[in-house]
Amino acid sequence: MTKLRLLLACVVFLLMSNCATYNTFYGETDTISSFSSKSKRLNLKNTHLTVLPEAITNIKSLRMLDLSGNTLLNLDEALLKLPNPESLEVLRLDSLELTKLPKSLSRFTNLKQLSLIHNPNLELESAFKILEELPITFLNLKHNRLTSLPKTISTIKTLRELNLSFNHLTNENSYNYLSQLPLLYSLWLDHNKLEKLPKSIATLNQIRFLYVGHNQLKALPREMNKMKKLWVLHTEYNDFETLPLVFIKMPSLLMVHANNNKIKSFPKAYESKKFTLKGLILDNNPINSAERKWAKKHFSNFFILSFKQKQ
Amino acid sequence: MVGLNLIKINIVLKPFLFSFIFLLITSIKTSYGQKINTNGGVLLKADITLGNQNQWIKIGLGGFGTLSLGDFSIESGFSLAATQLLKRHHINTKDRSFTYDVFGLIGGGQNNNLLGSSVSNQNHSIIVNPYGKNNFKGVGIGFEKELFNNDLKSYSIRRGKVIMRYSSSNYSIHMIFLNDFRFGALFNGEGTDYGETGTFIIGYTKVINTKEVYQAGVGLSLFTPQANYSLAPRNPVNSDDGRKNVWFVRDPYSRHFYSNIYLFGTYQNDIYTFHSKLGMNSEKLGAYIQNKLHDGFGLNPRFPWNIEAKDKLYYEIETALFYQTTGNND
Repeated sequence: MTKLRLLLACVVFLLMSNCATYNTFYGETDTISSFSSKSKRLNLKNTHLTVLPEAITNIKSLRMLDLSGNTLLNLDEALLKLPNPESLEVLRLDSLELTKLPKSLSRFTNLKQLSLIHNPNLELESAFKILEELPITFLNLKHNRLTSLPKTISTIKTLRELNLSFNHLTNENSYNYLSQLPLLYSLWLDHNKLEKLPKSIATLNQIRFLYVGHNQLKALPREMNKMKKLWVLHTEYNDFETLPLVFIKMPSLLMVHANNNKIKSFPKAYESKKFTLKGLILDNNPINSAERKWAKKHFSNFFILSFKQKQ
Repeated sequence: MVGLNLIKINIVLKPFLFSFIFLLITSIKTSYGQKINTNGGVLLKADITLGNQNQWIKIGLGGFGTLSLGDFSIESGFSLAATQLLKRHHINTKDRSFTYDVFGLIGGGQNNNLLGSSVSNQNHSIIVNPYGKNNFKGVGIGFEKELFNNDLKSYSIRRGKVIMRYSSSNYSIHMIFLNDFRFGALFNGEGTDYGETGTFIIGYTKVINTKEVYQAGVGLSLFTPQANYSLAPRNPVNSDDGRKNVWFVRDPYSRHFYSNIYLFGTYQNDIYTFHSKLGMNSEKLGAYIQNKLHDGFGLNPRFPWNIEAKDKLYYEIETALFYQTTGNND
């Protein structure tokens, strides 16, 4: 039995050990008291550091580093101290009261994920100029009081996922800049106090996932029918009273999360028009039994259709 | 209320209609008896299963039939079972469940060894005609559901399945993919995306002699709790350091995740079946597989697999006593 278990463990280990996902995300995360030269993931968040511990220079292949909350740390010096910078893929620099990004960031030539949450005074124009030289695929700018984005964001051509949650991004042009990111796949705009989406959001015809939940939206711009690649739309916790009609005209839309809205009814155009939608989450909406029955009938081919109510 | 109950009964009975009609056909000698070959069998069984994730006592009924005309064949089977549970999906319970499993395949050959019954995921006792020597290759679909009564009721999920099978003389190889998603009329899952959502099985069954059969194979099965759609998917667990959306999950089973990768083996003689599974429960593997699916065409946020959890042993032993009878008009 032990041999068999070992054999299985070896198969799984062999399959996964060469996998970047396994090394970067699934390993144990060490802390200031437990890290060693073999550490892959190191969490030094909120440890009141002024300088990095000397032993960090012995780490051979660090994949993830979290320096968040260490406001007394000289970030430029700290990043210069890290050995083998080409191995680092994930860097978290949240709540550091940053005003600009250190130039030493350019040492991390394989940096793919950068988190800059809660740095509202960060000067983004120059920050993006540093980032355009790096293979950044995910940028987290949550909680930065952003109302607009500088044009230079369009120079981070490798960007695939951008999190702008908990801001107030109302500036129309910002969306035009984002439309110039050819690989942009997912965009988070939840918790942005948006009462309506700017029409320019429709210029984002490259994205697949759009998160606009937790706003105050009552309708969606009809121009969204130009978002030809959008697969999934999160509209939960808004003020919709009916299922938006624009979904019928969105050519790739497959899944909508519309839970916790004020949806009472469904436009009867869904009876006669063809549409691509195949999944709908409608939990916690005041939908009466007749409307629910109607939805179950007309959305019967959906792979997921949920109406659960809070107990 | 009565109308509603009738509808429910209709929904429950509908899956068996095809199988019953088919088994009926296989028992009738038609005027085309020279061309149409029919084979079939039924099985009654009682089993006890002990393992670190599942423990139960079960009684069940299974049926399997084949029909071939020249080189064209169809085959179909069903299983029904009533179970007193002691443990299910890691959860200690005194719940009872009722299970059904229906499947049908279409293909070429003359499948008279009845080894197609081995593709049942719910019944591990194999209906077999040891004298059947013809071959078969085909594909099929099916669906199965375990209906719980009490504490596990919300996990009564119907799953659709796709089956591929190849059989020659005294052996059969099959591959089954089960999932709870719904795709058109053919893949008839519940469409809930929780519970035991996905299973993949490859099995090899061989008739040793007129009384003995064995089966061996590998399987992979994933289980996740129910997502809480009322909460924004900002769970930090398994989020790739904040990059991906991850659901929070509903209590009371919010920590019940498993991803079993296992080898299984079955030995059967004319009285009993012994079936066992041995493998690993790896949350890392489950996360890896499901993340790939959910990040891409799965369309839904991820689930909070504990990616730092150490892999655990998974085992299950089942012993069944059965009675089976077979018939044919070859």
